[in-house]
Amino acid sequence: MEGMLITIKIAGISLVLSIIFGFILGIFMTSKNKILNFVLRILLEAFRLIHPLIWLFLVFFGVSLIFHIQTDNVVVSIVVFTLWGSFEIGDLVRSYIKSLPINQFESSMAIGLNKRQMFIYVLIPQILIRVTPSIVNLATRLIKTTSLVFLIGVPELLKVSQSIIQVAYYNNPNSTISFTMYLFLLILYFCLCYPLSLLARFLEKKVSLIS
Amino acid sequence: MHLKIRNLKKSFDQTLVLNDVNFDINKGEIIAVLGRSGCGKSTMLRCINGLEKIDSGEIYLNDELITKPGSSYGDWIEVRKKVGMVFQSYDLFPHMTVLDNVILGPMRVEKRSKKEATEEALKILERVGLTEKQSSYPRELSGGQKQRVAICRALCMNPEIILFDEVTAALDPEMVREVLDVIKGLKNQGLTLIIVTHEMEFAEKVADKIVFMENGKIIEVNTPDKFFSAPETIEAKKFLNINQDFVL
Repeated sequence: MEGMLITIKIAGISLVLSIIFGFILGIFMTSKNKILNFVLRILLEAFRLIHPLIWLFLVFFGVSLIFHIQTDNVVVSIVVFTLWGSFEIGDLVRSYIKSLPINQFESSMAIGLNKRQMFIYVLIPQILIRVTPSIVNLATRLIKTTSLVFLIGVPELLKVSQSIIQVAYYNNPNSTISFTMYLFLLILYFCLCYPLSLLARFLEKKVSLIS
Repeated sequence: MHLKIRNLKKSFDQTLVLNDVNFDINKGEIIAVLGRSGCGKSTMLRCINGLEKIDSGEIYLNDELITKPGSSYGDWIEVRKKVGMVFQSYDLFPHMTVLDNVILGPMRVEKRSKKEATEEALKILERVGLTEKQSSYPRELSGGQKQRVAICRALCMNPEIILFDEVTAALDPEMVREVLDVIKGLKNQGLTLIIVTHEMEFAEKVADKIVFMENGKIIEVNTPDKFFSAPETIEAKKFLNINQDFVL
């Protein structure tokens, strides 16, 4: 049970942070500054193409090597997943801003809104409505991918289950615990992700009604 | 003089869209701007409220220069409070109800209370016959209704001037009338209206002055009577003939 809490904790915190940073990144990604754009583009591709596992190791060992501090593996996990999620959401937000008709910008300008008001009242609500289904999808991917963090020593769901299996085998080599445990895991992950998947489908329907 | 345009020039890439436009408008006048597609009518409107940056020339609003070389986004907000605009494609905010669309500007730009803005918005919506649509979303409205809401949105800012950019061009014929009737209803309210349109009959009936443009220049400014019966310039004659052939 504690393993599951850690899984939810890492996925949950990363997701919330990702949404916040994702929106900020997304707005920056539409900036006309070429250097900023280029850097963000590179980082986006880096986080998308390079497996999260490698980032986990890189940050986990990298930070302690460079700064000579003991890295907390849960914090490292959250940082890596937040970065990954932020760039994924950032790219979604960027593409939605780009796909908004230019008229939305012009009609906001024509009634005299300043740029901040334009984002807060006109653009972000529209993006939020459209981006929510994708965010929920990202949440399910995040939950599944958190199973990797046991490799840097975080006792999450998968790791805890494996420990249970080991202990059980030690006591009784003929045990079928392996199978039952993984079956149990399958059900657990399903229970975590399926409601989200349903939610995504429901939201997608809603969105198609609005736009 | 309410609005004064001097030597206005604007080009996109290499093409000169507005070539030395000069033009005066008095307060409360209704101006219809006519001309072929691509003659610069819409661009002229968009220069007046800063949606397009001008290359050279001056625009004065109430004798105050509004096209200062370094004018910032913030400076334009002050102009846009006085100069409303209605677009061809309505451009309502799709995630907001009709009422919210109309009160957004008054609440956020003019910082009026929600109650006060709502009261005024409802009065304006009643005038255009859309009271019962106040909590509908734009997608539930017909094109004509959307355009009427867009006009309300501009009106609720209490502007001095409203720019209409081919507001009936995207509408079915039966909806054109309802929108034009709303614009007609704005006559004699002290509002200055600049209407870019292809509706000749409407221009003739409603406008105080006809401005005819071609190739980025104002060719003729005349009263509707004279313009449609005896235009002074060859270009205007040609333009009207072509349009008559088209109608027949």
